[in-house]
Amino acid sequence: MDLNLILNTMGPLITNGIIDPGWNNYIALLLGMAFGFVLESAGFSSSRKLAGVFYGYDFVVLKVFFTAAVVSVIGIYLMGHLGWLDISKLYIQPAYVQSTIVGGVIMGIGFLMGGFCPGTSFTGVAIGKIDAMVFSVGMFIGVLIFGELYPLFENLYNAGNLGYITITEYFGIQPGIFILGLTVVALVAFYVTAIIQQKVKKVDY
Amino acid sequence: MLQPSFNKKLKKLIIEKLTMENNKGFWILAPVVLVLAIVLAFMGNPLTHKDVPPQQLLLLAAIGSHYYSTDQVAEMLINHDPALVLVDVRQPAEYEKWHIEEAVNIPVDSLLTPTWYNWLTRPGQTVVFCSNDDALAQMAWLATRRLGASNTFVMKGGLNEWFNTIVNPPAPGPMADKVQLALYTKRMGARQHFYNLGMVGEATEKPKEAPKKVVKPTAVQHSAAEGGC
Repeated sequence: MDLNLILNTMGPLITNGIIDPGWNNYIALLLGMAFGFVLESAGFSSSRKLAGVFYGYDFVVLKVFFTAAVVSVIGIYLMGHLGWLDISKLYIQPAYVQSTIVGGVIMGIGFLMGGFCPGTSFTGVAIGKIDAMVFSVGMFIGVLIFGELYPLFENLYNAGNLGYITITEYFGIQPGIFILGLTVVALVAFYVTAIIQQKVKKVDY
Repeated sequence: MLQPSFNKKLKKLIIEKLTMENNKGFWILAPVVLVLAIVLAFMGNPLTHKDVPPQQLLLLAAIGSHYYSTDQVAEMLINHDPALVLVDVRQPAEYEKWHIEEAVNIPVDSLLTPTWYNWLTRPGQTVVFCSNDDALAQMAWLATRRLGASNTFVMKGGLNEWFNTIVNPPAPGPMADKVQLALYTKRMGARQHFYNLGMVGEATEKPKEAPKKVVKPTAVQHSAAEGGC
């Protein structure tokens, strides 16, 4: 292995000390603005577009997030092979099984009812959508309730912690094989949803 | 009256065009992504650089297997052991004042630059760090081991110990056994080899002269080592 690369030019840039950690928040701000801008440009500030996934007339949400996952995982692992990125230094969110399932269900219901997810609701607020503002206020009320009643939820909140683990580590699959599988699933999903979209009555929005 | 329906038609046309183009994009991009994923699947695990776990390092340090005694180092130097690289990790100013002749000066703060690190971790080498006492050398050892080097060691007691054992070996007492006498003879031999000092009694005075003799050749060696890398 080329230690030259490891010691000098390998990402992640902040963990490896190539960028000073003091820049963390500024970079986050820039990335956040770029993310919001792209979300808005892609039409994600429209609750009808977002809810379209559930009714079958617009699958753009599924396509965007699946594409993001596939592109980034392929990119990250290719960079790992090229020696540009030290994958072992990437931060992995800890996996909480039960709480993720419960949280996912709540999030899905909220998504379907309100037509936004947290990020997109702010892009909606940014362009002055009233439904997005109502949604955001509701979100803060939800945060407040959760915060105040935290002792009640505490056990569920911490349930099923598997630590900092990835799917491939947990099941002992080769990352490359898993990525190939994910890619195939994504491509099939894109194709199938395109067909569904054609058959479902178009909604003007 | 005409305008709204015309607008609607235009909108429909645009949407149809867009979806067409989206489909085109799909058929162009899907194979690209798929090929990349297949390539990845055959590439195995990517290069990662796992640190040596601190527990393992602590265990190694506790066992003390990373130590070379001054006698061992002296013997290797006398035998011109080709594997030995004796690295003085003090600052250049300290190094210029006094150092073991064969030692190369790589200050501890520049030890992990790619050039030095790659040079030090060439396979087949035994890298022994030394400093005034153990402290700096231990730091160098810890940092290099943490990065995955397996051939770095510490000269136990550092240059102080070197001074007390090789430059100025304590004379064995009247009750000394065979082993101690043999060690003393060996150390005197080493002292003769390194500093051309024969007599025991003059030891406290003479070593101070010895460094001055040593400085000039090593200055040359120092720069040669740097240039070589």
